[in-house]
Amino acid sequence: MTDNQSTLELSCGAIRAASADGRLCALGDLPALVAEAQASAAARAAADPRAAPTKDAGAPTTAASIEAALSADAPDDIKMMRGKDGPYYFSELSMTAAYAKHLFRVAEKDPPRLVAETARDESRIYPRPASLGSLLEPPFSLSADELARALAEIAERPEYADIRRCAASNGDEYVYSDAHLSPAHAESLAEWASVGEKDNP
Amino acid sequence: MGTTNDAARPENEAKTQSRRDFLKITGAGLAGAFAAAALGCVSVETRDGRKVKAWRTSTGAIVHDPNLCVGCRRCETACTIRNDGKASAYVSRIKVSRNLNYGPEGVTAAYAVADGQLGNFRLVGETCRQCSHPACGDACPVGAITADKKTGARVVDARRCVGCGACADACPWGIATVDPETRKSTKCLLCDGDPNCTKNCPTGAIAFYPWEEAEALLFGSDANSGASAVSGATA
Amino acid sequence: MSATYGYTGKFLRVNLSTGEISTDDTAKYLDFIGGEGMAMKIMWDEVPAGTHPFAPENKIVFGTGPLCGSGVPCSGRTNITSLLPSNPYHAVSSSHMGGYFAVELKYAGWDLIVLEGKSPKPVWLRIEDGKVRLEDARWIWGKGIFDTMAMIGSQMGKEAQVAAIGQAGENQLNLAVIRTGSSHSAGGHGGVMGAKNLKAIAVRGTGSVKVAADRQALMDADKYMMSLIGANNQMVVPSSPLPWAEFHNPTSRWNAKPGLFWGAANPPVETGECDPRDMQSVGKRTFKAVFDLGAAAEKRTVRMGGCAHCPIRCHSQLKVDELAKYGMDTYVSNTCMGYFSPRGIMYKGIKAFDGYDAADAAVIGTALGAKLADDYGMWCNYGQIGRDVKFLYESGTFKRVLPAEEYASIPWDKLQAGDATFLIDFYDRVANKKGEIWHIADGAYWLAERWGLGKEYWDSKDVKLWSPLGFPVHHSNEAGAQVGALISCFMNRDAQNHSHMNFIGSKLPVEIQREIAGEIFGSPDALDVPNNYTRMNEYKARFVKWSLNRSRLHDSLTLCNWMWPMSVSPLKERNYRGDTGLEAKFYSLVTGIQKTEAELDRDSERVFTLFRALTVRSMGTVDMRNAHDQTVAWVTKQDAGKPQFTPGTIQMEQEDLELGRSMVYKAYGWDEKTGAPTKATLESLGLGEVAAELGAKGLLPA
Repeated sequence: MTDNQSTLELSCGAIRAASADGRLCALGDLPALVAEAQASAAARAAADPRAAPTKDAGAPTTAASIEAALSADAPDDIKMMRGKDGPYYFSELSMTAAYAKHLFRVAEKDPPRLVAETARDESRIYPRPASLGSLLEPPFSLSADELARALAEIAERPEYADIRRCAASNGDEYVYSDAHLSPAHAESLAEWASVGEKDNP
Repeated sequence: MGTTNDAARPENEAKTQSRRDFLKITGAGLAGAFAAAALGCVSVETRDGRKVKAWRTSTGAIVHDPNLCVGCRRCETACTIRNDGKASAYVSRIKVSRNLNYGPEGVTAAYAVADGQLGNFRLVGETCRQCSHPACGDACPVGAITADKKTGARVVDARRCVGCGACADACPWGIATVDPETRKSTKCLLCDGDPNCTKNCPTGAIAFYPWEEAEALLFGSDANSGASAVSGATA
Repeated sequence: MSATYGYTGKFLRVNLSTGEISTDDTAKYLDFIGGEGMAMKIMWDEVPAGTHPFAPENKIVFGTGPLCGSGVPCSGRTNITSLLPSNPYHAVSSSHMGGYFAVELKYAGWDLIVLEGKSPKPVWLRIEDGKVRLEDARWIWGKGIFDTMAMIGSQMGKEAQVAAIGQAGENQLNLAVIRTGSSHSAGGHGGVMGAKNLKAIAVRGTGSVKVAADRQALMDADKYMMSLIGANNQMVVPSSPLPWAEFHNPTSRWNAKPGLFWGAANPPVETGECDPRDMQSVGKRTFKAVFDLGAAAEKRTVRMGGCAHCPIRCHSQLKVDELAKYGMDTYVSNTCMGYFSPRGIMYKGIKAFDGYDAADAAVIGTALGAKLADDYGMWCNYGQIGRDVKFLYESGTFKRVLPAEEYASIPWDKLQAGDATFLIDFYDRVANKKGEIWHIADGAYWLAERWGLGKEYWDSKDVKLWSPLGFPVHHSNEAGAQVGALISCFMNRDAQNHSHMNFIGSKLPVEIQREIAGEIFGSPDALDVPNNYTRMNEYKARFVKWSLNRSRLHDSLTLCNWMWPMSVSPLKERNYRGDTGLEAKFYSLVTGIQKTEAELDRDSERVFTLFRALTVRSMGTVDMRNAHDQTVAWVTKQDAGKPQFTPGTIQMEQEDLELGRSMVYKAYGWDEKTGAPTKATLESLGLGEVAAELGAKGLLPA
């Protein structure tokens, strides 16, 4: 890493470091991260008698300029998801888009949407109903309260009319989208996952 | 790391000495001592007239962690396929199978709570200490064991070995083993610096440590089992 | 056979009646691959139809394959083949035990051990490399398996690997196992050893398994396979969303995650993220203890154990201090069914007690049962024994068939109250043949006959028998629709077949699996969406045949059929594809005998067809379709009210299953009406002598 890394390079470095750590990188966090990286570089240069004199960093980089640089020139591994408060970035070198999507939904702080969209994804992709228990675990980590309120709100909102609930005979609860799974299918898959599979090791 | 395991082998109390002791013995009398340094091992006369072999220290040693070992024994076949072209447990230079069932102590009346698969599930694998003053090398009557130029591992030259078993008898941990099929001794050679057992362990229970760290793990007061505070072995 | 690679080239014959021990040549049986295949040929040639499993004329073959001992991943299993006491026709069957026995036998220089006759007094077989002798077993006869192994170890040395029976086998129970190591059980043949007065076989081997290939080639193949291997049952998707993973499934056996520990290790060992590219965390991927026994098992897990040369550890090794209260040893190891079967006997659950909540109580009680069963050497008929206890109690059968005094002496209140000490009394009565209740260990078929169990038993979905031959469901219609269902129809006990499971259960999205099924079997239609089944088709038949053949292959090489084949992988960059040619690749590298995937599948087909011929001969009929391959009634009636082949039901349809049978018969070249092997097919597989004998007995289809 040279001391004269551009804003783009430093931004990508910060994004990749966050992804390696299992986190998304919000655009809003990048100016500070870039400034921090520039300061460390400058400190290293000052301490190293052999270094060429550093170029003046100039004015602090803005989020807008970082966003522009990334959307123009970011390497292929850097991906972006646009949230309601701005973009989130991750690097495919250490994080799959699927995982990033889970983190993104958490970051959006919209539990009904998180629950509904997770249910739809699982109902479509695997297919299976989504276990409510799994939503209390990382990376979703909803509290029981948050989950209960989200489910209540989902029941009210027309845009979530496809989201339905079912339970296995042992009490485990599930949520699914009837756009992808019929109730009979979802119920039998829930029963299989919670009870049947354990009875058939 | 686990607690020290006192698997004493009283019939083999060869003194193995550390690097510090090595330097103490040879002291200033090293002139010419490294003339034969290519073998990693030279004979020197000490100030008080004893003749001892002086050995180049190994770059490090392999240490086995019984807390992580799951008893798969992949290390043994990794070792013997690479180094012998055949699969064996007996000849493996990392010894896991012999302690697998009942631990290093073997069967006791209290087997159900002792080390091993039939006891407390603790699996003590034993590795070559690459002793700074190796009993195996000192015992060899034909000088077949020398320190490898690159790794410092104490290595048997199969062309010189006569299969007498003196090394196997001398080693306090029974690492050097005469292969019953070839009638040659063999012991850990650190795989030219890229130990195959280490790479193939599915839980990371085996690691190569540079000498100072290895010494502390194998001989120090926190010695990991696989190592043992055998009387006579000093740090 | 000289200069053999993989194989040692020789096997042991022991005549327990005469004490004669001799050596025979493995090369004669190479067409049957190894292990199970060779054993089937020996059974065909040497054990006449009508032999009773406990008669001296029965033989029992402990088989290894050319890959055992070579270090190929998951190559540590022993295959045991003999007549099966619990089967109504005493037909031939194989059982398997993992652990380290097979590897030690190879290192001692032996491919197989064939035992016949009956010793006049109890003996154990002592094998130390080439030195083999029968030893007096007076001092271990009557002892449980753990003490037996320790006593033998004190004689032979701590390195010896022992296969032994407990009291259950000595007493010639049908439901008895042969066991090795901490927890590895081969079900159904313990009584055969008992009937021969053979308490144990102990092996010490200081030799090696030679490999033909250049060392680097073998190491490269190992590295390649390790890149494809997933978790237990080749599940290739983690249970939690993780940064490296595209998919996740809460029911996956790849259940390692940050913050989940082997809690009784010192210090506790975190299972962690287990990125599939990290070769040093493969052994942590499957935390079976928590998977099988719940969160309460985490703090009690010392480590995960398993078999020789397998990086996937599926035996949960627990520290359960509470067992000291019951006079039991406090360290318990087992894999799923070893824990589930005692738990199944406690059919009302195990209740909280003494300050332990229900979850903890269940772990303690289950561990108690597992340790008892493993010491007595009891088999469970793949968990059937628990469902039998429930049925027999709830239906009043126990009350009806047991003498009043015996019935009154049994602590039923403990069973009803969920007190697991019931198991101490239960296993003692059964293993030691006390009273009448021990007949529960006759196995479902003989039990039903003796105690007059009728439709309520056989037709009940809860009782969960699969076949009129008395064995239960084991990855049947709940596993890939007709694929699992048909696989379950062809064996002489529960199928023990995971060739299909290690693919169907991979936890990948079904569309990816269907694509892969298309590549292997010719069409995605080989694999149904779970619980949304379609009618039988020829691709499913191919899947059935492949699965049956691969199980025979694995039991012959031997490889663990609970992991292999590698149909899929965890690697996104490979589109999750595995490599179904790996068995052939390793066979060729290790033995130097070059075989393609298709050639080795053909050899396995020979083994399976020979097994079929053996079954025809035992049953004395060609009408396998009706006499052997049927299911019990609930399979086609289980969800009354839900039509078959609609979403939400896994119910089969009789006509569709019959079509499936016909398709599988056709795929094997057997008679399509009866399912019996034809003369032409037998001859094309080099089994002309088999055809001749069957023909002479009128057992070839018209």
